[in-house]
Amino acid sequence: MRTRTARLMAFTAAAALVVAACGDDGDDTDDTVVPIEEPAGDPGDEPVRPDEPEVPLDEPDDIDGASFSLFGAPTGVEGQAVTGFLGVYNDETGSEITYEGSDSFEEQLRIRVDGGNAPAAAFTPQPGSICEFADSGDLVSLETMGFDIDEMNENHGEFWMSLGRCDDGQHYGIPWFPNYKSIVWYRPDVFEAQGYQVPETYEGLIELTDQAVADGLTPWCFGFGSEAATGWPGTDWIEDIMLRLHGPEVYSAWYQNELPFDSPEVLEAFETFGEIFFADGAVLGGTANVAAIDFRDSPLPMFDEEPGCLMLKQGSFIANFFPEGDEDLVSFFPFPTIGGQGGAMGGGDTLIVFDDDPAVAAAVKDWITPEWQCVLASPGGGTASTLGGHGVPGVERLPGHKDVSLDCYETELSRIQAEAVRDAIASNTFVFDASDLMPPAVGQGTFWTAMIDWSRGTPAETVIEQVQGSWPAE
Amino acid sequence: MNDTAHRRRWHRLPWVLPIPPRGGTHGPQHSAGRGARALGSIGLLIAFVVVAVVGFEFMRDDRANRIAVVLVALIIGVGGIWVLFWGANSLVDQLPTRIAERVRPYVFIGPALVFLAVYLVYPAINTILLSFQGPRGTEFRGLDNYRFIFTERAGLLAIRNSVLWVIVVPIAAVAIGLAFAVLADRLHRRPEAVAKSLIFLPMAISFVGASIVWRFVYNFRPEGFGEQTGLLNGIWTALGNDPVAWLLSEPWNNLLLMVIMIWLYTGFAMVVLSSAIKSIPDEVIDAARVDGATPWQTFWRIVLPMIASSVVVVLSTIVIIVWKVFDIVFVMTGGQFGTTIIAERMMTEFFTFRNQGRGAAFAVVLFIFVIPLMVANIRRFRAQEEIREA
Repeated sequence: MRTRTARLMAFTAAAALVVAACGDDGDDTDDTVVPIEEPAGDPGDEPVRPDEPEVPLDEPDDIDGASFSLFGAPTGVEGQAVTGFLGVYNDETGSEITYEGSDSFEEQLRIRVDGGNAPAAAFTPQPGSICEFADSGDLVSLETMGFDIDEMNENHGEFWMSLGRCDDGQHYGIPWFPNYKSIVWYRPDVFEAQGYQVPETYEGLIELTDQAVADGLTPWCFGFGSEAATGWPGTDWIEDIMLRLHGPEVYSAWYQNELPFDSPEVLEAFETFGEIFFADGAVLGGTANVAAIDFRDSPLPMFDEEPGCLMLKQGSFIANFFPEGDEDLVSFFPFPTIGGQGGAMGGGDTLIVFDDDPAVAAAVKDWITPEWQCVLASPGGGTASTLGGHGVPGVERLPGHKDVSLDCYETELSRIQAEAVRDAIASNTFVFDASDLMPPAVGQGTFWTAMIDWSRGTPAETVIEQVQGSWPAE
Repeated sequence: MNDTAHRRRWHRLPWVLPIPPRGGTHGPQHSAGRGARALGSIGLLIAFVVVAVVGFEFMRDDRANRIAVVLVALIIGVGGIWVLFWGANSLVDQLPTRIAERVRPYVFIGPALVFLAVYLVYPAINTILLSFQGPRGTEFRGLDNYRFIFTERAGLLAIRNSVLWVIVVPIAAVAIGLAFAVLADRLHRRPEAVAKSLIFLPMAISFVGASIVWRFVYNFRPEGFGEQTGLLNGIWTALGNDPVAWLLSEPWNNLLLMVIMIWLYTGFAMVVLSSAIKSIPDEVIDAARVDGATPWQTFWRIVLPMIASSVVVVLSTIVIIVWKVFDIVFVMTGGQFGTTIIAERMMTEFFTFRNQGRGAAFAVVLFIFVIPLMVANIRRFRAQEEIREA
């Protein structure tokens, strides 16, 4: 009897062990993630005692210098430019800030934050994710870090600042550097030979389109094709037209669906686009086939001996798909104004801060100043930078501050873009690509489908109703 | 009959499991030896837990040598299973014989059940619950997601296309495969092998790979964008027609996408059906011929009925695969131009639109559509088992 009990006990003990082993993971995390209680008070709240001249204990090496890791999406040469910029900054201020770039930045950031391993600061191309982190209490607000919001609204544009304002009314996003999409590429040599002028207004663009058709030329190349993302190049047109027709306030209301997608304002934008798109003979290959043309192929006919088309509206990145050696054949002009209203549409990288450390806040404050943006602007910082540039050839970053000097740029292409973006920021007409800001079901779904259907003959009234109907209920 | 077979199988269960020899040097009478064995098994289990924990830490290290990581994974994986079963079995040995024999089957089947529960049952239940919830899976939304699927344009389109896929692809693949199998059967051995290999070859290509290949077939360039590079448009324009944007031509583009799947699975149907045809005894065919049956009659009245069960297996297998295929549509059109199907829509809702509730609802609909087939398949499988046992 005793032996049997012993055996049973051995069995249960072993079983318990196995169970314990299975539950090991949970126990482990409980042990390792010990919540460290940070002193609740803002470090700035502590009375400064002049009789204690020594440096803070946790930063034994340097008072000014910060030591932390910055996380972002750019890799390759773009990432090297950020590293180069930080190198200059570290040398200048005695800091030790490192940069880490990841191709799967969005997922990695989410994983690191959820795993209690958030970077001190990061910069995100997706402003929609800012408030997700802020709502879960992971971010430090600009108000806490002592930024002057009014001044920032003035320097970086209200629209960009509004993207970082979350439900609690505080701001969490710090505009850093933008990109620019309101670009029309064209063939200057053909324009010159035909006596065409670069149009300043949308009416002028329509006239130019008609004139080119009358002269037996095909004015436009379009390409909406992009595999699963087919349709997006069309949304850029609607966005640029919405901004110019109705201004940034209506644009903001539109992407938040406070202005319904099937309202007359949006219909007007489609019709305005249609004046060019559906003009007889305006589109190479025919409007119905636009969705079958890959956007990467869309510039190619512009480079033909007898140019297949004269103009293409596409972001600056499309230059990567130009035929090698022929890049100089084309130039670009900013998308023209409508009724005197200009603007710039694009995107941008927004800094967010996870670590409530005054040293991090101080560094971030430096980076968004015109002086430091000049270092980030070009390899040598142009003629304007006293601190040099990031040192990586071929990489130029547009200004995220209205006062960045145009002399920070070293190529004409960047200077034209920088000027357009800077002016737009100063006049509060710099906006982000609305389809990136809309809920994914619309911005990466029905809005794209709407552009495809519309280009193939479905009336604008129908497609905008379908988009409105698909807007998530939340 | 059913009952006895069932009982017989149940009785057999303990015998198919490996039972270590009892007695031997450490007889069950020597309690000291038994204690040592028990201690040994516990020790082994502890050692295994330690190795597993250390090993996992090692495998998570990015800088570790890849080959070493693979080796450790193999040791933990294969060795772990062995240790687990051996340890559990020798522990069961320590129990009194009567209890031990009752417990043993569960000890062996236990890990499989646990894995099944964790990786199949739990996610299935969770998906069903999720399908009644909103985009973030936090708030209850009742039947909203199902209402979307069964009333909105996008949902209905997905169902319509999926049903078309499920009807067209298996029938076409089996019909063509069967035709090839019958015709190849008349060839000499060498040419038959070559012909069958060629038709079977696409099976080795992934759905995404096949889709990329077929993109080149359907490629289209409008006027002004250069020469046609697509095979189909090359042929089409050579015949004097204007090039066509094949993937944009609703509703025929759906058929063009199905062709890819048919191309992939004809080989599978052919191989299975060919072996079925070869297993028909020659006497039967000869007898038919002697009775004056034409080849056509022989095929319809003798060959087809005799391979009917294989045809059903192939059909239902392809149907299940077709329900679940999403890659082809995703790569070729992204579900645009009226080509969306349930599985593709499920992926898009989950990962592009980040609408977990609706994605889960699509998954459940898919699940419900596949269930009858699974039930039918299992029923038939059981029936065959009965025949074999009888």
